[in-house]
Amino acid sequence: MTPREERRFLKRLKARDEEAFTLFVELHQHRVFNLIYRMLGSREEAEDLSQEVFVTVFKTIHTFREESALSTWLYRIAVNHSKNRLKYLSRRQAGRQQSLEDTGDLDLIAAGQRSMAQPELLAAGREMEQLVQEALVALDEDHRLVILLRDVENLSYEEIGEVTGVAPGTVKSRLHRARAALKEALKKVEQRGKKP
Amino acid sequence: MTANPPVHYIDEQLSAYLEGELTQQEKDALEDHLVHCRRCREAMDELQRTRALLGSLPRQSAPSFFTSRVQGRIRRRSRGRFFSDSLLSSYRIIYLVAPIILVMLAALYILSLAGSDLVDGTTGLGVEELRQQGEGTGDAGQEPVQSTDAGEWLQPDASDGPPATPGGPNGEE
Ligand SMILES: [Zn+2]
Repeated sequence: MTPREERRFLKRLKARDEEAFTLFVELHQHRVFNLIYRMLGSREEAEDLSQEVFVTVFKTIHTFREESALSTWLYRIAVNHSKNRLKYLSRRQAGRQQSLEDTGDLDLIAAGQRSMAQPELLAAGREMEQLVQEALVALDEDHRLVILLRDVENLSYEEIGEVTGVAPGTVKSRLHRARAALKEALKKVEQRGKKP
Repeated sequence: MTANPPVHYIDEQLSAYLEGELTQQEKDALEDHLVHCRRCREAMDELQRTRALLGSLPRQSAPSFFTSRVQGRIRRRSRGRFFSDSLLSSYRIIYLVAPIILVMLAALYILSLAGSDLVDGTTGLGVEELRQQGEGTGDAGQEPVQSTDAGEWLQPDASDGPPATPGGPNGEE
């Protein structure tokens, strides 16, 4: 889209033009879904939450200030929804299992339960993806997010800064720490995978 | 980092190197070190492998009918103000209604064989009603647990701030 077409498209979106909105969803659904799926580690949650992201877009598009790109704004909504959902899920999980065992990590436990629930995911070629996903889910939320935005979504530091509300310099150092953490987490899940 | 080179590099520094963020001097020092230090070379390999794995993660696609589900949520929560005809106009409705119509036709046929007095009662069921049944099953099958927060939906313009689009986004047509 040329800048001019983009402006016209945005105008239609803001007027809650159903056709324009439908096109918008068609264009961005997979990107939003993938990011949320990688953040939450569950298809089911991702399906629900991605829909909510677009409902929010439709509801609040009039508040979009055009200071950033529309795609950046969309990412921001997806990120905020993901963080809220993660908070909700961990609170619910904490309520369910008050005494945690030595592994202790809520997210890891959740990931384990999910992988048990989806045995087909562990089959053959999917196994590595599953391990990486488990390692991702074991990271703390901000680390996971910066890695996904940079190494999976290929956003620039500036864009990541806009999406997360963090200064680009901080994004940079956080990314390096996150990669180091992911490397360690991956080692751990791989060792655990070899044991049984 | 350059003034007093570390005994070994840490992952954060290696990651910065991969991003091309080191000065020429730092870069040279690191590369020199890698030539001689197996431990740091391995650390670098692992880091690169991690990044490659991330890059090769398959992209998960949104499920089919994603768009119409979003439309459905908006329709329900706006109490039909938006996307109210999308269900009927979408091709999906054919799959929902066609089997029902077939069953009805079959039933009519059987009934007409059984006795003509029963037919009068059944033919009263019009296409509209068939459609409504179709819609009903569609929504139920698609999202069985759907809380409605319709109350909050159409008021935001009135309650928090200026109207989004003067004159109403949906027009009065
Ligand atoms: Zn070394």
